[in-house]
Amino acid sequence: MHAGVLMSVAIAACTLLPGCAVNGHGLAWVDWFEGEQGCAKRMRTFGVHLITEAGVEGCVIGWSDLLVCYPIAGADPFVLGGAARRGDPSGDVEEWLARGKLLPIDETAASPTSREGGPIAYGHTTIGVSLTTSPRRFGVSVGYRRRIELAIPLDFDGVTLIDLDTDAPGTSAYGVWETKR
Amino acid sequence: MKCTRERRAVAAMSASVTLALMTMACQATHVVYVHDTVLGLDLAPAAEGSARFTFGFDRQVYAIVPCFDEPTQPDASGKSTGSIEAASVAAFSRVHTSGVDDIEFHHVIATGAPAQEIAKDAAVLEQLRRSVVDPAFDREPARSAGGSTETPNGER
Repeated sequence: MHAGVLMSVAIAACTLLPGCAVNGHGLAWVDWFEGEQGCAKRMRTFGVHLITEAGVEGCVIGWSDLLVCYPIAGADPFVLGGAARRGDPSGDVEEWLARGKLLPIDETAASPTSREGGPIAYGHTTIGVSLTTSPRRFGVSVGYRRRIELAIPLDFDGVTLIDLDTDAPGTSAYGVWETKR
Repeated sequence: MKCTRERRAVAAMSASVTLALMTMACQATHVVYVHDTVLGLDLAPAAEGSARFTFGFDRQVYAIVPCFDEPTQPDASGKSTGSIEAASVAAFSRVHTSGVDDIEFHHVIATGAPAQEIAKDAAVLEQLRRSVVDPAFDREPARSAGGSTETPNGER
């Protein structure tokens, strides 16, 4: 019994020793991506990762790979339907795919201050123990877990497009269209 | 001793039920699209209003469209009765998974008044559908069965 407790403490210490991070601050690998209407932040941590982002709240002990996508405040929405009416084969969507592409940027050039509200989408991969306390999910998991969630506020009038590959955020895109005719 | 164990079990069960009911009572404020994969142990007493216990491998892909109360016009007797309406949503989705870890998540979702407008517009609907369902949309025009070229808005 005593040896079992010591072993548990040793395993826990080995897991915690590498470091701690809060929202990607601390011992974490952070990458930024930005498009015309959205930006994404990828945070990879090993150890304890405490997350307080709206909708993603929780704590991970072990490996955590979190990609959160935010709308950018003040970005002009694309106009929907114009190209289709002109008979343009490329249409609005091709234009959006190009303009909404989330491309890697330098962390210092990122615009975290201009992002609007909480993340509209996120992808979270964890290996270890993860506790989730967000309004949409409360639970604990042990082992491997991957969750991708897109949440659109009920009072939003528009079109949201998300093209998310959590393994390759640089090929992902995000955009919002309004439907002005 | 047995009595104590039973009390603990009942207390734990009561706490879980209470927690689940609390979450179910919460008014949903978002249209939500979720992909969730678990390999191991997962316990969620109140995941989107329903309990979940997983041991092993489990993958879920689902969407939640909230409902809200909408008051109706007063009837002849002057009484106004409410009705439960689902939020207006027009959406195309494509989730591609390969193995346990490789996932691509594509969605185009119209909400609110635009959803009602888009649902009546075949050209825009087709354009949005192909942007999500046809990954080659932005590389080459689609070919119909007869071999003629079809534009995104359905013109030939």
